[in-house]
Amino acid sequence: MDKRSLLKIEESFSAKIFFLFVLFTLAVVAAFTSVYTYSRSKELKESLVREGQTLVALLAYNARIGAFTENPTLLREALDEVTGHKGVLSAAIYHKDGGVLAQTTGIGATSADVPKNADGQVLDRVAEASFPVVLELRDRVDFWWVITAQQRWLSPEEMFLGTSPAGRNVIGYARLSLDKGRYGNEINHLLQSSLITSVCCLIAGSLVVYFFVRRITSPLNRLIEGVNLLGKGGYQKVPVETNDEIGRMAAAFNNLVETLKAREDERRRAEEEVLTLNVELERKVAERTAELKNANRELELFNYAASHDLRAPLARIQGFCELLSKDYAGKLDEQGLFFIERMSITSRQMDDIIRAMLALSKLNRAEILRARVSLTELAQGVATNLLESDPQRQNRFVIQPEVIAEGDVKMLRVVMENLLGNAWKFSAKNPQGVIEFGSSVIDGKTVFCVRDEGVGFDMQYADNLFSPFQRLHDASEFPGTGIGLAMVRRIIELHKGQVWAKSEEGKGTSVCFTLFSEA
Amino acid sequence: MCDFILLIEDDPDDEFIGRRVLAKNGFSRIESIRDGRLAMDRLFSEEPLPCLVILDLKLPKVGGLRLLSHIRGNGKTKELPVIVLSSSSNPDEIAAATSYPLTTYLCKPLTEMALKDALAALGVNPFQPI
Repeated sequence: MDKRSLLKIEESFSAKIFFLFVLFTLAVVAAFTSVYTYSRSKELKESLVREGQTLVALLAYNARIGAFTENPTLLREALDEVTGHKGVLSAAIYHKDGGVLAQTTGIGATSADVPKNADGQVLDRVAEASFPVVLELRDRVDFWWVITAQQRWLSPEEMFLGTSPAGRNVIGYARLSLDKGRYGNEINHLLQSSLITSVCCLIAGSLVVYFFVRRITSPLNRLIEGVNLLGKGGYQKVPVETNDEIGRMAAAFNNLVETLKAREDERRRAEEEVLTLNVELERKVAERTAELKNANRELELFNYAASHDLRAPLARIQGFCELLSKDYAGKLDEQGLFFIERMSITSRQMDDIIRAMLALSKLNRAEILRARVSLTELAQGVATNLLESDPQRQNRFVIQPEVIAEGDVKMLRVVMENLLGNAWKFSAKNPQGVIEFGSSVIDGKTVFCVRDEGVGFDMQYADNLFSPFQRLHDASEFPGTGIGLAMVRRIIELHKGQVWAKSEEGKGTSVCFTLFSEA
Repeated sequence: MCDFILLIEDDPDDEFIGRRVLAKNGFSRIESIRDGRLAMDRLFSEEPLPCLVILDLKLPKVGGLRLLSHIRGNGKTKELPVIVLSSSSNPDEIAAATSYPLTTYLCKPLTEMALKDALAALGVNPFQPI
């Protein structure tokens, strides 16, 4: 048996059972055969011995007169009587000194075989031994008996149980050789039939075991196939054929398959649902994006309309105002000229508002170009412009040197213009008011602040401060579009920062902001 | 000396203001055209060219900027001085218009002061200064 088939026995339950059964059957058959053969052979041997003993006793009795008289004819007669018997190989009659008185031809003992003692003295041992003497040889069994001069016939007990020659008048010995072959043949025959029976038993048993084991293992194999299939994602039930453990196992497996299948179905359904939801979501996102794009396009169209179509009629009004004031100055009184001036100023204000709106909406779509920006330089530039715009004003600017920030320089300029511009505007009534710009670090964040000592405002209205078109002062007092701080907030939001204001009426205002403070 | 101006403007009010301001600046011969298509036909015809074009940007059929690119792209008209006159303050439009040579941009309304400055910048002198 090579290593592979050995492994197969190790792996296969049926092979194990089969192998064990064969071993068991072999052992049982061998045991029975040996016990039977042993007892049969013992029986055969006993009957052989009994036959030999009887025959030799008969020979010794019949030969007693011939031996006594040494008459060959009588001896021959005695010999002939036993040699005709089946299985007798040879027979002989010996003188009590060991010499052959008469003997038959054929296989058997020669005179040399006459039992001798250790000193080579013939018959001594025989003489001392109980008779009959049975000598088992390779191919035959020799039986020896004493021939006595007694006239009497041996009793059946003596004939079967033997008799001691002691005290008897021994006149010779009889020998009979029986063929052992008969006995051996019978043993061989016995062994052969045992062997055939064993083989038949083995084959029949093997077949029975094979089918029995198959009945056990085939559902197991189907179960294994089912489990393997389950591992690969298949859901196949196995047939339940019996009510035993294996059948219950198959039923349990089927339950498992059903449960798993239900779970898998549920999972797939959920997956499909998620997929559907995702598709729906994507569709909605695409829809919203499209809507948003539409809205953006509309906004751009509106911007264009605002920048052109709203301003074009305004420009006409301004144009006519100009013509009126220039060409008809002589024909109008003072009040008429004042009205024209107000019209002109009002239309310019509307123009400012339109421009501011455009700037704010443009910021909504803006992207920042991040760079290092010197807020000090920006503040100084703005301050210079403001001072030049109204040289009469006494207000001072105090700008902290080397304030550096990260951000979009154009947008930060808008921030500085608006914050410093507001501070300037609201400081108009306090000629001594100082306008400050600087930075400080609060809670690890750099905070930039513009402070003034102007009119300030009531903090309860601060909520709307950074919303577009919200004003805390009336326009006649402090002109403006109401857009500036909304733009500041939008820019600071784009810079991921925060902006807030603190104020006290009559004391002043400070507006502070951070840049990229979320990062 | 320039005595012939082409005013390309679709709005009658703006045309009126334009004519008036131009007249006050000494220009007497002013031809006005209402849309871009007609302006192109006029400029690229055999008729005599004006010595100055005043061009609105928002025009029917052919826009002002496209018309300007045609004017600058044509050998006959490429050195014609142009004043772009628009109500738009869109920096992109302003930049697009002023990228051409011999072109000035003016925001509406047209005023005598602004026109004077523009004429000076373009080196155009009115035929009959007042």
